[in-house]
Amino acid sequence: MTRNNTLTKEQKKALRKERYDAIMADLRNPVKKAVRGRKIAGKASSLLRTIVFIGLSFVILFPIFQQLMLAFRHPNDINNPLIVWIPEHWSLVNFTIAIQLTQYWKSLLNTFRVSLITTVFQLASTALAGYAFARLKFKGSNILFWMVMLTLIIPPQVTAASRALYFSNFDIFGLISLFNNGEAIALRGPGKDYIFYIMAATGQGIRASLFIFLFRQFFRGVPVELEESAQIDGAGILRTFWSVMLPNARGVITTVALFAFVWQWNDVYYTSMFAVSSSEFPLLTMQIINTAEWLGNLLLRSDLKYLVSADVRGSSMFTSLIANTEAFLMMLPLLIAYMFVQKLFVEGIERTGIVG
Amino acid sequence: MKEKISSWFSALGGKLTQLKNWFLLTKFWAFIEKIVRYISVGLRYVFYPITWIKKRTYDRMRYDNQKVFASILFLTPVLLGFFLFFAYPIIMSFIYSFSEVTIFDGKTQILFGQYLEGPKGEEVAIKDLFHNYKFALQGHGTFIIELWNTVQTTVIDTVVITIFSLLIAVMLNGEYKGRGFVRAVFFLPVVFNSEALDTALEATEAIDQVLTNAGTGSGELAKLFDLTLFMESIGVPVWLVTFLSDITGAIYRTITYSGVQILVFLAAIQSVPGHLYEAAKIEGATAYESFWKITLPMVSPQIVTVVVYTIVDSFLRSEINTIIDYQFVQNEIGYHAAMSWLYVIVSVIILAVAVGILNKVVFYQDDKK
Repeated sequence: MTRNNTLTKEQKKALRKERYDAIMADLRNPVKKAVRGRKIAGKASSLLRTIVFIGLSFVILFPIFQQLMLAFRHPNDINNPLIVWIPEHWSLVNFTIAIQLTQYWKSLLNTFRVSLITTVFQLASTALAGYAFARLKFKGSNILFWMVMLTLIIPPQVTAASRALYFSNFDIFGLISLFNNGEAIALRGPGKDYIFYIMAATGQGIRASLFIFLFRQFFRGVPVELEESAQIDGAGILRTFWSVMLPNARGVITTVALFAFVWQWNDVYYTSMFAVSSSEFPLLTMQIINTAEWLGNLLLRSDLKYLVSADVRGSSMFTSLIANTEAFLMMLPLLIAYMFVQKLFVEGIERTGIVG
Repeated sequence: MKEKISSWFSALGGKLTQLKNWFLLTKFWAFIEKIVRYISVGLRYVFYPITWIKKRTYDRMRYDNQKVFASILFLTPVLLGFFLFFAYPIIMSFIYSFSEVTIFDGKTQILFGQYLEGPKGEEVAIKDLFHNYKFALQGHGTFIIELWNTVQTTVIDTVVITIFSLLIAVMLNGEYKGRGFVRAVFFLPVVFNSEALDTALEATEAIDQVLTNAGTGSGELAKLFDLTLFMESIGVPVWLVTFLSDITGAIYRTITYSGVQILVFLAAIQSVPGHLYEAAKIEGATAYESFWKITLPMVSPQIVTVVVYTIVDSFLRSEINTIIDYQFVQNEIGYHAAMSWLYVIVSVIILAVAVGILNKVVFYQDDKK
C-alpha cells in the first residue's frame, strides 16, 4: 500500500496496463489455453459424472427404499393419504403374514439348495465347455460352438411345450422303459428338483450358453505361454486346466456363479415350466406368484383374523402390500449376500477380460 | 472396539489350532488315517483296469490327439444336453407346429399330415398342414399386432440400452470418489430383479378385475407411494412432474435391463491398453476425441455381443410371451409351437439384420474378418 501511494498517476496506469497485458498474454498463450481447457473439461466432466451417478443411484435405490418402507407399514394404514414414505405405525404384521403365506423358512431353504446346486453344476459344465471351445480345438469344434450358441439365440419358449411333454414322459430311444417295466419316467412334476440339476449339469441351465461364451472369451485371452510352460513342466491337460487355468479364472468364475445363482433364485419361467414347486416342496418365486390366490384363505384362520381389519382384508392393495413384502423377503438374503460378494464381483469383472 | 474384536478372533483362531494339533495326535485320528489309506489303496486296485487302459491308450497318444480326446471329454455333458434336451425338443416343436396335438391321459397324440378316406375314396386332409400358422397369423386377433409391437420395442430398446450402457461403462471406468459404492449400486439391478413380484401383481390385478370389476388394479399401490403426487402438492408444475416421472420411469427400465451390458462394456474398456490413451494425450487429444477414436473402435466387437444379448433379452421379456404361454396353458400345443416358431423367425431376422449392419462398422483388432 505504501508503495502505491508514492507512485504517480501515469506510473499506476502503466503498471495496470502491464498487469492487464500479462493476463491477456496468459489467456492467449496456446499451451496454457490447452491446459486450462483440459482442467475445466475435467472439472465439468467430473461434475457431470457426479450428477449422473447421484441421479441414477437414486433411481436404483429408491424402489428398494420404497419396498422396505411399505413392508413396515401397518396394513390398516394403506388408505391413509397422509403417509407418504415413513410409516406412522411401524409394524411387522406384513412380515408375519408373508412368512406364513410363503412358508418362508422352508421355501428359503429349498430355493437356496436348488440355487446352490445348480450354480455348482452350471459352473462345472460351462467352464469345461468354455475351455474346450477356447483351447482344445479340433476340426468342427467351432461348428459345435455355434450350435451351442443357438441355445442362447433361440428363446426357451419354443421348446417349452415339447420339453414339458418330453419331460413328463422321459425316454431315450426306449432305453429307460426297457429297465423300468415298460414305463417312461416323469422328470417333471412337484418336488422333482433334480430336473434343474440335470439341466445345469448338461449345459442347458438358465442362459448356460452365455456362461460358455464368457468362459471361452476369458480362456482365449489367457497367454498361451502359461499353458505351454505348464506342459513343459509335465502337466497333463487336466492338470493344466485345474491348476493353471482355473485359478486365473477367479473373476469369471465369480461373475458366472453370481449370475447363475441369482437367475436361478429369481427364476419364474423354468420353475413354472417344470411345475417343481408344491406345498411339500415350496420355492419362493412360485409362492409369491400364488399370493393373490392364497391370501384370502390364510386370513380366515382364527389366529390371523385379528391382525388386520375386515375392510382392509379384501382390498387388492392389501394383497399387493403382502406380495411386496414377500418380494422384499425373497430379495433380502440376496442383498445381504451381495453386500459381501460385491467387492469380489466388481473386481472380478475388471480382471475378467471378457474381451477375447 | 475393532481391535477387541480382532484380538478375540485371533485368540479363537489360536485356540482352534491348539485343538486341531491335539486332535491330530490322538489315536482316533490315527485310526481314521489308517482307514483312509486302506480305502485309497483299495480304490487303486478297483480302478486299476481304468488306469491300465489309460496307460495303454491315452498316455501313448500324441499331445494333439490327447487334446482332442480331452476336448471331447470336456464337451460331453454339454453336447449330451444339447442333443437330448435341446435339439430333440426343438425338432419335436417344429413337428408340433405342423400337426394337431392332443394330450389324452398324460399321453400325447400327434397327428401330422394325416389323411382320411373321403366318401369317394379320395384322401382328405384332416387339417391343412399350415393350419397352426394360419391360426396364428389370421385367426388369432392380437398375435400379429403384438409381434409387431415387440419388434418395435426391441429395436428401440436395443439402440437405447446399447448406447446407455456404453456411456455408463465409460463413466464407471476411471478414478473418482466412492467408486466401489457406485459400482455396487449399479450392478444391484442385476441382483434385484422383481420378475416374481411383477407376475404376482399381475395375478392380483387379474383377480381383482374378476372380483370387483371396478378396474382399480394394483396400480393403486404405486399411487399410495407416489412421489409425483407429493411433488404436485408442494407446488411443482404438473407438466414438469409428468416429464420427470416419465423420464425416471424410462431410465429405471433401461438401467434395470442393462446390468449385463454395462458389465461387458466395462470389462472391454478395461482391457484397452493404457498406452493408447497416453499416446493420444501427448498428441493433444481431448477425452472426448479419445473416446471416439480409441474407446469406441476398441470396444466395437463387444457392441455385437451386447446387441445380440439385448435383442434376445428384450424378446424374452416382451408381452408376446404371455400370448404364447397362454396357448400352452390351454393345451393348444400346435398353436403354441407355430406361434413360437414365428417368433423365433422374426427374432432371428432382427438379429441377422443387426449383426449384418454392425459387421460393416465393427473394427477387429486382429483383422481376421
